[in-house]
Amino acid sequence: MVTDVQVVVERLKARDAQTFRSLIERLQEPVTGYLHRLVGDREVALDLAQDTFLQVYKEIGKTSSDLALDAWIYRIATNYGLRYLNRKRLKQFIGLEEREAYDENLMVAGPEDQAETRLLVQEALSMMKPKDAAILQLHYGSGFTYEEIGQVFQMSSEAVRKRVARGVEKFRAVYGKKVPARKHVGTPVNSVQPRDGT
Amino acid sequence: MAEQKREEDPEHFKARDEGGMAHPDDDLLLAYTRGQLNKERTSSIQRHIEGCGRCFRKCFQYEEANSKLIVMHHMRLTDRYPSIVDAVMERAEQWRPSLAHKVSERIYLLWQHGRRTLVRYFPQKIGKTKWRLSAGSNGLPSTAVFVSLFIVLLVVAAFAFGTAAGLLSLNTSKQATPQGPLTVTVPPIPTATPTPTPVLSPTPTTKPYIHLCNTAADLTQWRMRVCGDNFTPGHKLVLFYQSFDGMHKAKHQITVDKQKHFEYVFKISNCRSVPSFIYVLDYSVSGGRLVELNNISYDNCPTSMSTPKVAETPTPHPEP
Repeated sequence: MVTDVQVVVERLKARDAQTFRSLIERLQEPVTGYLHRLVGDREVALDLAQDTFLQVYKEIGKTSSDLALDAWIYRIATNYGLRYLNRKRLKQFIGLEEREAYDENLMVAGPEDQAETRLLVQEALSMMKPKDAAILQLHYGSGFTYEEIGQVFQMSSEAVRKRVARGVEKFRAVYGKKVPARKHVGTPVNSVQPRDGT
Repeated sequence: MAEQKREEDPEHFKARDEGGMAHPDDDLLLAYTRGQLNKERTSSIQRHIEGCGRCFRKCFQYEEANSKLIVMHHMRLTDRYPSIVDAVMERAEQWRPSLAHKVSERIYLLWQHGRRTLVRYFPQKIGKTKWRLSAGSNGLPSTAVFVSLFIVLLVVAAFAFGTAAGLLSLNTSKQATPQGPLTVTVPPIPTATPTPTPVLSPTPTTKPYIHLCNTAADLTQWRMRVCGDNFTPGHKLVLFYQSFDGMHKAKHQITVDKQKHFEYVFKISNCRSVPSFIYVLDYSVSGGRLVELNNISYDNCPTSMSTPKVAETPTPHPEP
């Protein structure tokens, strides 16, 4: 049985401009939003989103018809995001680039203390491994299930479950250190220390 | 009894405390708080938590972490992202698949065809393998295919260049040393006498320069088009710009076409994102060549700058 996704993939393989345009229109907001949250820079996120869709156009011919299209696009976006973050870290490590403040375009609707939480969460995530941060972004930010994340990272949902749990433990450890450092009283400090001591 | 047995199921409850009581793994507890477990596991863990203070506390801690992380979901932009559809479509139209790309696509299709054929004849053995040659995967077979192809290309290129170099050297050596033992021909050392150097500073007409070449359609769609002329065909350039407020920076790679020309289009989201300067660095030239465009005005954007003025600054060691 031929599904809608298969039809779209076949049309994309035939370089159908209209299909490609509607694909970008459908996914540009969520993909750019995901990249924006991941890299923390609006302009970079827009550039990476462009590169992602261009890569889709270039590489679609090398995929099979039963491709999970959205997961594949998110995989490409994630690879671009992770590559950018790794290069940025390297530059910061060797002193070519300074640490930047977080993009104020990413705002949180709601009370003021949520904005503070947002900054702390962004900072904590930036101190984690980029891949762990990307998995948490997909799960908590984009609302992906473990199974969908598994499709993006080509892992089983059990592996994703363990990875998310490890990521949350690391996040708690980093966030727990951040909160007393900022003397923030609005949010409670996690009392339980992580098992791995990170 | 059956419930007790399910709770003791090592698949679900692996961790044990000092008292020998079995507990679910932490990742299962987190998945439970996130609603990512199936019905059976959810009810099993729920029953366990009701009677286990340790796991109840753990779930509470996870709920607390979830409440922080879920903030990411509520992150909203102050303004919407500008549409990237036109920019991507334009780049896609400009893209022409290279020979290597076409070859790798053919290899993939052959691989798929071969695999399908094998699956048809040996469904049990081949059908279970998960080898893939898709663009996103980094599996061993795809890597092996590309590495072997690269090695073959490398050998062919080395052979071709080697033959060409050999032919050339044969021609020159025939004139220098027609016969006899192996000799090394040392090229003449340039003397200190001043010799006329090749033209380093080209005439104004051949100078590479950049300018704005916005069309009416560009202005209506809030795009800026930068054109460059008199660059060396095939050279790789890096174009970078910064907006007036310093918030928008970008860096892009461009290749000069055969007509010594390039065009680059980028989106202008608002007047603040209009570049205050644009640099193009030709790093194919030894030492690099920097071409600069200042005093940029765009449509009706308020700026004290006048008409675009072209300035060319050849610098041996540019510092962007």
